[in-house]
Amino acid sequence: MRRAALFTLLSLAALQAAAAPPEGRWTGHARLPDRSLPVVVDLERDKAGAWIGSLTVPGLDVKGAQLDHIVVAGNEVSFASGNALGLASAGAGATFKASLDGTTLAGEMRQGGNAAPFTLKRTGEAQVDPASRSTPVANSTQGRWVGDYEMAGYPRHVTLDIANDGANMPKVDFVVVGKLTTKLPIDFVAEEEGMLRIESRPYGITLEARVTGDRIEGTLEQGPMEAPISLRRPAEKTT
Amino acid sequence: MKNLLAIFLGAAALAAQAEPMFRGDAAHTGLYDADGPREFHRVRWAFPTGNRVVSSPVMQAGTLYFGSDDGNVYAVDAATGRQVWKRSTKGPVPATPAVVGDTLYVGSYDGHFYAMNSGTGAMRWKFTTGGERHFEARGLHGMTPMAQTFFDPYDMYLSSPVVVGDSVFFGSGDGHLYALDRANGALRWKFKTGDVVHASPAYADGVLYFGSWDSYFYAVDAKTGQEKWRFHGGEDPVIHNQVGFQSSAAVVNGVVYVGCRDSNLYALDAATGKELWRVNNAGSWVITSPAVADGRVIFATSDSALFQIVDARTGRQIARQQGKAFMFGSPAVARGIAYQPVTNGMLEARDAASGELLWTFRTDASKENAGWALTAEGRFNTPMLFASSNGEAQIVAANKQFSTGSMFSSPLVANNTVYVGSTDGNLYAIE
Repeated sequence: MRRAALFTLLSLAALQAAAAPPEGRWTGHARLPDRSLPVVVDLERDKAGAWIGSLTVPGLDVKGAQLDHIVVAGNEVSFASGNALGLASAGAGATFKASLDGTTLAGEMRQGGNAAPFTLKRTGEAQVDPASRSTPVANSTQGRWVGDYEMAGYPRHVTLDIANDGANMPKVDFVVVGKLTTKLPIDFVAEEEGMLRIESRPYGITLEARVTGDRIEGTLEQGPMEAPISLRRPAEKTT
Repeated sequence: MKNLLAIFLGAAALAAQAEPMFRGDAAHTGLYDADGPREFHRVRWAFPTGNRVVSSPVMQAGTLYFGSDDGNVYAVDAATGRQVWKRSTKGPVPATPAVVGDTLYVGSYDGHFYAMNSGTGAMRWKFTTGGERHFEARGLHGMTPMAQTFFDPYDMYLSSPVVVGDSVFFGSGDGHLYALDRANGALRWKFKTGDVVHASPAYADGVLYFGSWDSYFYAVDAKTGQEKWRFHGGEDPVIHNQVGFQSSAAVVNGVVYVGCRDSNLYALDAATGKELWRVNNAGSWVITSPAVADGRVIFATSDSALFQIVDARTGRQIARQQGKAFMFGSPAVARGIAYQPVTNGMLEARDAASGELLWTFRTDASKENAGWALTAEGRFNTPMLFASSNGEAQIVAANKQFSTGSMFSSPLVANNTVYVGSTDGNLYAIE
């Protein structure tokens, strides 16, 4: 009986250790000169045991931005917020380095070459925002589509090739021919309830359109501009 | 027989529950047949978004739906405050969604009106309006130079849709009221007014009631889009401060109650548009959408910060309580308690019969009081707000005011909890 009790106690201790900080929701502020910037960070381990997290900054349109480069070493925690607060590739993205002390995570936030102290308190369980995941498209959506649109007075021709790739993001070749020929890098592809969405984040271009039989009809958005677009199957060549 | 009675009572209870749309029903009474907290206990949870939450939450089957000015529409578990899904638009969403069956309807500042799967957020269709914009005018509110056109920072809402039968109705910054087929987003009709329509249409007995910033309030046949009557509110051709219907109407027992920026609360005959009575507020806007409960009309004012209760039949004053700051968010009334959002980052619970203050919740941003936007008592600290002598002083001041976690969202009352949004970016569950 005593042995069982000891075992239970040890198991509980092990469980507590497994759920040890910095896992959780951390809420507080970064102290910018003349301004207090609210910051919410969610950190947890995924099924494989790797750290994942997301960042929310009310007032800066940042909600659930995926964290990267998360490092937890003892009481030291560091992470970055991708492109959520400036282009990481240009060295302007935000990075956070902090020390954990009980229920407080305090350290320094760097962004755009500036540095500010931040203090976060653990306020609950982690609520890491799931990353938006691409989905396979319907079988009937696969293949080549062609069409045209006009934006800012310039006509453009589009060729779109879509092919599912198992559980991965479908392979998409999205080529726009205007004055130049541009092959768009694609970050996101999904088809839900017949609505197809294809995003090229570096170019700020989104195709959002309904697939109906032999047509894909909807809009192509680039920044604040938007144009109607209609795609069709290319005519078969006859010999 | 006993079973039949149980079914009947069950159906009656169901009918009395708030519908998941702005102000709890198509007539926009602001009444919630639910217990709310009589005392403040705690914030059960706060759900952070990326920007202001001006939208009001609605609930269906334990899930809350609302928009944020971060451009997302959210579904959140009401019990836990955990996100169920989010769906991005390309503009702020300060409108309140309507949920019918498994479809959510809402408009965005990106100029689109959306239908989404309420279970997943998947888009079903989107309709393109003539484009959104804020109300704007030359020399607005006395900003200088007088020949300059300024946008109105206090035009913070978008029109919230009302769903009746197989149609969905909403107003737009392009000056129209739209009627769409709710199954596919096809345009049924549109009704043109002279300026921005950011008030939400109320519906009763086949007629839609709404106001425009063109100074007119309209009654329009819901089937045909034909005008039945229009009522002319006040004009202000010089600084455009005392003009326009920003308040959304409530329609009860054949009477339309609506606030106006001309500083009046109006009671109009729903059949004819004839004015029955008005309560003048001496220059203070009435932006709140009135709540109508037990023969009383409850509303509040901007600059004078008055919480008021008047007789619904005569407009005679029953109670008047002095608040601390502008009240733009609309009161929600639940079983004798009125929950009134305030622009200073507070939510006040008041007795719905006397207006007496029961309790106050204050956001952290309001307590922090950055830049002393508020006095120690929680009133707006005018010398610290209008520091600029440039023309945009009003816009700068409004942003400082909103930094206090202003509450523009109309509260939802359910399960002994008040759900309300704040400009600090949070949706709060308060019990």
